[in-house]
Amino acid sequence: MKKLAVLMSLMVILGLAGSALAEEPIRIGVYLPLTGQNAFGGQLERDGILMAHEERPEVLGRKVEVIVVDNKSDKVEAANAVVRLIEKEKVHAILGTYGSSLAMAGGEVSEKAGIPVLGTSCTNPLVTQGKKYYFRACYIDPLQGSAAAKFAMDLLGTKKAAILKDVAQDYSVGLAAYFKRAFEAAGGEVVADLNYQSGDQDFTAQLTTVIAKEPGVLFIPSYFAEGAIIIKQARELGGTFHIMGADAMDNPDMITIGGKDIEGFVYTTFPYAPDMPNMSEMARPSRKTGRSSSPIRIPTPTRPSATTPTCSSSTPSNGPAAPIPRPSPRPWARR
Amino acid sequence: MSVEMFIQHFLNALTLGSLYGLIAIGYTMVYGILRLINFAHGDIFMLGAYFVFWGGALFRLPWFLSVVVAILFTALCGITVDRVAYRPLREAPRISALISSIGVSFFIQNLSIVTFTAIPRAVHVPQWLGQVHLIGKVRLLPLAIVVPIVSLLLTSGLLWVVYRTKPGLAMRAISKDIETTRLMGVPVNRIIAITFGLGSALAAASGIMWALRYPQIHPFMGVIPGFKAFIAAVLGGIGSIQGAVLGGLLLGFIEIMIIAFFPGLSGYRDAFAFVLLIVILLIRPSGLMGEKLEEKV
Repeated sequence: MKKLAVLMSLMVILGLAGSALAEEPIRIGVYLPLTGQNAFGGQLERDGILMAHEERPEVLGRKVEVIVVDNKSDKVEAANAVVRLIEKEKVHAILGTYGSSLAMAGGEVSEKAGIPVLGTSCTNPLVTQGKKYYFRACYIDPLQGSAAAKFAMDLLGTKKAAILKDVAQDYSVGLAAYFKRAFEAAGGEVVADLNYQSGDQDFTAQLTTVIAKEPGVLFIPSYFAEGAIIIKQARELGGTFHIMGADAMDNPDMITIGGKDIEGFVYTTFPYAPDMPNMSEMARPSRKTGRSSSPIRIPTPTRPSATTPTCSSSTPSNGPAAPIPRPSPRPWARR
Repeated sequence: MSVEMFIQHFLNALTLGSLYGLIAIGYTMVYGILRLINFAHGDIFMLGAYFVFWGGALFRLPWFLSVVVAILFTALCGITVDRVAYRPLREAPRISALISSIGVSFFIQNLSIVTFTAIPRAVHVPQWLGQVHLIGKVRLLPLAIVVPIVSLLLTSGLLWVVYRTKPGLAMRAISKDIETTRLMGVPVNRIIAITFGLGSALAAASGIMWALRYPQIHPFMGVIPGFKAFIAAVLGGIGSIQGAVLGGLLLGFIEIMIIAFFPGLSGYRDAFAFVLLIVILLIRPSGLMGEKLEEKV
């Protein structure tokens, strides 16, 4: 009798669950640095995700629910955020995160729980290496690093590079190493490889040293908080070399902060020019929301690869191109 | 290393060091009088920079006016923090006020993240301060001269207040014995409020100088400079105003020169700088210009 009661109630519960399953929304967790040192990047990505959600709130006839949590730009908090999404919010899948170091911390947790995660802009290869459930929607740094090195060699026409990287960030250290490897393999020379730490504001000592080595290009795989200031200080100290960055400096505020000194700055990033061939409808400037998915408006460059060097394989190499002229030296930069 | 390069490094170090010194004065002053390490100092420093930014960007004030307004507002913030977070703990053990100041620090940071957002803002730098001058092969930013001069002026102004005025006399009395001072009829709470007002005005001044040198402000900008300046204050002998300036300069020079002479160690800059500081403190535990420690019973 008792057994039967248990069985009956179990069937009722299962029946309820079954009928609920049809209308139950798909819960997607998002963990991003909304506060702390990387908040500017996390806040932008959150806006992008919410915008996509606004445009396509349903998948396969089921509502999508987005739960955004803050990982506070902290590795421990990133792991906590994933635990919270899985255990408390019971999400089906996770999106995130900006910052490779944070993604690595979060990935350990989701891997154990077997919840799939789609990385947004965590480009360090270690994020997905050896992981069954971590995927990504972006390229990886070996590609980005070698593309940057190729660009520096072929289009900027230099064989002498200097690197200034953030030793506290896996993204920066990894990308610098891939750039260096590719640049040296192609016959270039890295004349200076210097470091700083996240949060530093004074780079004058490193830059004075770099300037004395007279490189043709300075590669800074920085986050944008430091990047704009590095460029500004480099120009103030009289550096006339090219400066190259990467996707973490893809931010409209670079120009607000660096002003005229940003002139001539080149970076590798995710391809998103609205007039690109094979651009998905989703990535085009949104009509419904009136916002644009691309955070920055770049005037179409004469050479399309100037903003997105060989990031997509569909871009054919446009033969032996003439080197881009160096930025005109500032009046006070004459030697 | 060429002579020009050394001079360039020297100027860089001088600017950085004077900025550290300027922030350190605020720490040391509050400590000297209340024996309280005000960990919120770095965040009040950040508020000062934001006030200048808003003065220019939001209210279109002329630059000089927005600096004055920012300093006043920041001083007001400092007094409020004291009234709300420190005054109720005046009779409590010292460690409670210290924890309270850490709490205030986190509160200001996170409130700013929510209200100002984390997106860094660009600060307007007046032309005469931002223009680089070329002397021989050395590049001179006017700030490299302005910052040390401002530090010097503020230090001497502060010394004058502390040693030559009545409130200064009261401050020194409070630092010796708060109970007796109160019995003598000194309005202790008002004097402490003045102390915080002055300390916060100094934080604002250094925040503004910092924002002019590194023209990008965000809610966490005060954390690392505040931390470094605190160390500079301890190095110089916490409680000593001249010591704070000296400690700041020393820290700035160590940081820059380590990279100048050993570029390979640039990743270990902080590690080496702090090892050196520990060594100095082992030799002189009370800091370079600190008084000999008296046992207070």
